[in-house]
Amino acid sequence: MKQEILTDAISELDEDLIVDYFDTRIKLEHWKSWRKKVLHCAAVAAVLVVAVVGSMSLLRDTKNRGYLAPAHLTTKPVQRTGKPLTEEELAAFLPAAKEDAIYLLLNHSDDPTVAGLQAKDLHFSNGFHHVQAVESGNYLSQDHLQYLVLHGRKVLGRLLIFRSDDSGELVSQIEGAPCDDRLTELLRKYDGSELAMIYFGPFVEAALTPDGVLHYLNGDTDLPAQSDDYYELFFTGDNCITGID
Amino acid sequence: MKHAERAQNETSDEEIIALFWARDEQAIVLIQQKYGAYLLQVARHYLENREDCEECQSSTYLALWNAIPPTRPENLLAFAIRILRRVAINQWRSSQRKSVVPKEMTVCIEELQTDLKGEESTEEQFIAGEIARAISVFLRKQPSKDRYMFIARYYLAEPVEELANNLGCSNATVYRKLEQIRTKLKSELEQEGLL
Repeated sequence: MKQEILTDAISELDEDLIVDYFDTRIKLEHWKSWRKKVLHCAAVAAVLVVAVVGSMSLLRDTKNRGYLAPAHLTTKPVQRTGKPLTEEELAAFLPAAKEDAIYLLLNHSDDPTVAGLQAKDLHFSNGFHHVQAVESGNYLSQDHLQYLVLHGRKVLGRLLIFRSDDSGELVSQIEGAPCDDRLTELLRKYDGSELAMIYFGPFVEAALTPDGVLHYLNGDTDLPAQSDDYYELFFTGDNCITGID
Repeated sequence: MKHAERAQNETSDEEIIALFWARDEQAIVLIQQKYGAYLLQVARHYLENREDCEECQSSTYLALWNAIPPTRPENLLAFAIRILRRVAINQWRSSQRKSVVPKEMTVCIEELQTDLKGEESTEEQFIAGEIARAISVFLRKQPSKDRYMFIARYYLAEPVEELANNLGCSNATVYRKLEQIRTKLKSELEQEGLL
C-alpha cells in the first residue's frame, strides 16, 4: 500500500473516534492525578509507620533505665544462657529445683557496676556486691538476671534470700530495714554468716537460721523452713542459701 | 490537554462556533486561547520546525474560518485537529520534497505546481476512503485503551514515550501492544480485500 494512501486514510478516520480519544485522554489525566495522590498518601503512610515502629523500638530500649537489653532478652527467655552448674552445685540445689524457681547465690564481686545495678534493683543497698542466680540447675547469665530484674519478676522483688558476709552489721546497713528486737536477738545468737534474711522490698521480713527455722520478724509464728505454706528454703552449703517463691 | 480542560471552564465550544457563524474574528482569538497550546503541541508531532508548526497552526485557523460555516462541528477540538492534521501532512510532504530537491528547483516546481497541480486520482481517493472506513469499523470493535493508543500513535503521531507516560506503562509495553493492534488490523483489512 502506498504510504500516501495510508496517510490519507488515517486522516479520514471518523470524527467520533477522535472525540473518543479526547474523552479517554481526559479520563487518563484524572486517573494519573488520582494515582499520584494515592502514591503520595501511601508514601506518607509508610513513613509514619516506620517512624512509629522505630520510636516504639527506641522507647522499649530506653525504658530499661539506660541498660540496653540484648535482643534475645526483649522476650521472655525460656532457657538459661549461663553456664551449667557443676555436679556438686547441682546436687546442692536439687532439693529446691523445680520449675520457675529462682535461686540466688550471693558471692563477693569486685565489679562495682554489676553490684550497683543489682543492689538497686534487687533492693540491696550495700553489704553485697554480687548476686548470682540459678534457675533449674543452671546459673543465670547476667543478661538473664538483668532481664528478670528489669521486667519485675515478682520473685526477685518480693523474696530474696541471701547470706551476710558482714556478720552482725548487715541489718543496720540496709536502708529502711527495721531492726527489731527479734532480729537483734537472732543476730546475737547466730553468727551473721549463718543467717539468711528474707526481704520484702527493702524490709527484712524473716530470717532463716541454720537449724532450718524461719523466724518471722513481724510477730508471726515461726515456721519450719521446709514447710511449703509460704516459702521453701534450703541451705546449700556454707555460703549459699536458696529460696523458692 | 490540561490547557484544553482549563480553558473549557472559560469559553464553551458552542460560544466559539457561534462566533464563527457570526463571522466574528473574536472566534479565532478565543480558539487560540483555548486550544492554541494543544494544537501547537500536536503540530510538533508532525513537523519539526517551530516556524512550520506556527504556520500550520495559523493555516488551521484559516481553514476553520473557511469551514465554519457551513459546517457546525459537534466537537470543535476534534474538528480542528482533523484540519490541523491535513494541513500538517501537506506541509510535511512539501518539506520532504524540498529536502531531496535543490532549493532553486523547489521554487520552480512549486511555481509550476500552483498551475499544474492535479487532484488525487479518483481511484486513490476511493481506496483511501474505503480503508478509512474499514479502520474506523475495526477501531470501534477494539477496547477503549487500544483505540486510544492507535489514535494517539497513528493519527496524532504522539511519541511512544509520551504515550507510555500517559498510560503509566513502559515503552516496550506500548510497542508490543501497538504491534498486536497492527497485526489485527492487517488481518481485518485482508479480510475486506483491501490489502
